[in-house]
Amino acid sequence: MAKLATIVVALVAGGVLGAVGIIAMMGAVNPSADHVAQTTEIVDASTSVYGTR
Amino acid sequence: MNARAAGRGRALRGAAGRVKAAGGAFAGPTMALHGVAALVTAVVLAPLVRPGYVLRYDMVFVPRQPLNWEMLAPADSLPRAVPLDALVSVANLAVPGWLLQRIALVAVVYLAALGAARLMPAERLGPRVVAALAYAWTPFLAERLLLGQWALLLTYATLPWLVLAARDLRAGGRDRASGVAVPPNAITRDADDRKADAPNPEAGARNAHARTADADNAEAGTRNAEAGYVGRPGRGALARLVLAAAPAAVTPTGGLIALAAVLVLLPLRSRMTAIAVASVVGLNAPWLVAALTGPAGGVSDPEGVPAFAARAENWAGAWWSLAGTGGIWNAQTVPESRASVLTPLATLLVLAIAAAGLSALRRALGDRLLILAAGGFLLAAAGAGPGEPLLEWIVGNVPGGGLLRDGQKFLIPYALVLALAFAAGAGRLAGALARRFEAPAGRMLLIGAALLPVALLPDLAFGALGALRPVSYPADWNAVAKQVDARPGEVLSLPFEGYQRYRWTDGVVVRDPAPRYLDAPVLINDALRVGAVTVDGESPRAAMVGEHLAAGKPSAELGFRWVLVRLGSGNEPPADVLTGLRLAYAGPGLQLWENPAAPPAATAGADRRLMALTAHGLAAVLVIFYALTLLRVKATPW
Repeated sequence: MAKLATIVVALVAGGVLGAVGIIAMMGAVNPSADHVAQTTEIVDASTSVYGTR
Repeated sequence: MNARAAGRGRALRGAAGRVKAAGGAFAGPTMALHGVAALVTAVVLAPLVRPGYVLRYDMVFVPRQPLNWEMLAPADSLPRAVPLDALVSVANLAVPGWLLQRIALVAVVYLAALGAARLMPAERLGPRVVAALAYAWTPFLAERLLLGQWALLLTYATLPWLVLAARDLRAGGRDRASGVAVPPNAITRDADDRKADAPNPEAGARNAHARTADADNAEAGTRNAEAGYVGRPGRGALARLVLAAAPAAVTPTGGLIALAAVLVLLPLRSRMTAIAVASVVGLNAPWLVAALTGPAGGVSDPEGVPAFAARAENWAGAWWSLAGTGGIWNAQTVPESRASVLTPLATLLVLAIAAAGLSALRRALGDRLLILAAGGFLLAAAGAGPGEPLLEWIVGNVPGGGLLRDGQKFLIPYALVLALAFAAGAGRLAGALARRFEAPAGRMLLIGAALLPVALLPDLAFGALGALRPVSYPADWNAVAKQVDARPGEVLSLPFEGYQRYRWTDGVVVRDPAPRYLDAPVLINDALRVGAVTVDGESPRAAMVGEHLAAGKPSAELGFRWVLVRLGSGNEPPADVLTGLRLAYAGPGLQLWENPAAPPAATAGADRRLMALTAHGLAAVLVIFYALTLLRVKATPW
C-alpha cells in the first residue's frame, strides 16, 4: 500500500511536470513563434522600437 | 500550546537545525543549498561562458565605462541609472566590463536562489530547495533578464536577505525592549522547556504566551549565532539590512522598493527603524539629488501608463499573468512558454499549493511581508485595470510619478511570498503524505514541486535558449572612442532613437551604447517607441533636438562638437542633417562627424556637481560604515 502511494505520487507529479513541460517546450521551440532568441534581418525603421505589446 | 506558539516551535526546530549546521554537525544542507544555487545559476547563464558582452535592451556593458559627471548627474535626462552608472564606472577601473557583467548576472541568480532558501522557514532541506527554485526560476526573473534590467534584478536578489535582516532586527528590538538576553543556546533551552512541559499540558498552555516571546528571542539568537555574530544582535541585523538595501538602491525603482520594504517590515515607533529608514534614504540620495537638481521635468508622459502596463501573456489575462509573476509589458521579452495553453492552469496549481502553505508562512514570518507583497501586486495590476486613469494622472502631474508606470516591476515582494508559500505548501503536503503513507511519497512530491517552475518555464534554461548570447562590439566603437577622447566635446547620437537593433547584436534591440562607451556627454533620444505609440521623454533638450532633426535642419546648428551616426538600421540621417560637418571617421558600422564651429560645451553648474558628489559620497560612506560594523560584530567576516 505504502509503496503504491509513492508510485502514484511519482506518476501524478511526473505526469503534471511532463505535460506542462512538453507543451511549454513545444511552444518555446516552435519555429513559427516570434521567439526572443530569434535573429531578425534589419530592413526598416521599425528597428528602433523599444518593444511591442 | 496555541497555533502561533506551535508555529514558532516548528520554525525554531528549523532554526535549531541551522545552528547545528553552523556548528559543523550538519554542514551538508548549507553546502547543498549553495550547490542548488550554483546549479540554477549555471543552467540559466550557461551561454555566458562564451566571450563577449550580452547586450539586450537596457543591458549595456562596455569594455571600460568612463567615470564622468554624466554618470553622477546626467545633464539632460532623468537619473534612471544613478548611482548605477557611477558604480559600474568605478568597478570598471579594476574589473573589465565583460567580467563585471558576468559577476553581476551570476550574483543576481545565485543570491536570489540562496536568499530564498535561507529565508524559507523550514527545518528540512526539501522545502528550502523548492523555495530556491521557485524564486530563482520565475517568469519575472526571465522577463526582466531578457529586457536587460539586471539592476532591478539586484533588488529581486537581495530582497530575501533584506527580509531576513528585518526579521532579525525586529526580534533584536524586542530583546532589548524586554531586557531578555539572547544566548546562542536559547533553542536548547526552549526545547528543554517543551520537554518539561510535555507531562503537564496545562502548565504548558499557561506558559505558551511566554514561550512565544522566548521563541522570537531564540530565533534572533539562533540566526545571529548561525551567522557568527558576537555582541548585540540588533547592530549586526541593522548592518545586514542596510547592506542588503544598498544593491537595490542603485536605481530609483529598486531604492523605492527597498525603502518601502524597510518601512513595512520594521515596527513604526522604534529607534532602530528610524536609523534604518534614514540609512536607506541616504542610499537613495544620489538619484534623489540628481533628479531634484536636474533640468529634466519631473513629470512623465501619461501615455506611458497603457504602454508599460502589465500585459496578458495568454488566454487568462493580465492579472493572471501577474499572479504567475509574469506580465511584463514587452511581448518581445516574454519566453514563448508563457503563452502555452497550460500555463494558466499550472499557475492555478502553484497558487493552490501556495495557499496550503500561506498560514505556516504567516506564522513564521508574520503579516508584514504579506502586506508588502499585496501592495506590490496592487501597484503592478493598477495600470491594467480600473486604476489606469488614476495612475495616468499621477504620472502626468506628480513629479517622480513616472516611476510607477511600469508597475510590473513592483511584483518583487509578491514573487518572494509566492515562492516561500509555494515551498511551505509543498512541504506541508509532503509531510502529510509521508505521515499517511511513507517518507518516499513525500520526497517524491517535493521533487515534483522543485521541478515545477522549470517545467513551467523550460525556455529560461541556457540563457533563455540562447537569447543571452554574448556578442562583440565592432572595432568601430574603439576607434570612435579614441577620437572623442582626443578632442572631448558633446556628442549627438544619430539616428535619434534610444534603442535600436543591430546586425552585430544578432538583431536584438539594445540601448544606444554611446553614452557608456564614449567619455563625453552624449545626447540620445529619451522618447520610447512601444509599437506604434511614442512615449515622450522627460528631457526638454532631447525634445527640442528631435523637433529640429525632424524638420530636416542641419545638426551643426545644435552646437554639438561630434555627431555619431550608427549605420545599418536603414534609418540613417539624410545628407541635409550632416551639412556643415567634417567626416572624422568612417567605418562599416559607425561614422563620426566633427563640427568645427562647435562652441565650447556648457558645463553643469558647480553647485549641482558638488551636491551630486556629496550624495554619492554619503551613500558610499553609509555602505562602508555598515560593512565595517558588520565586520566588527561578526566573529568571522567571511
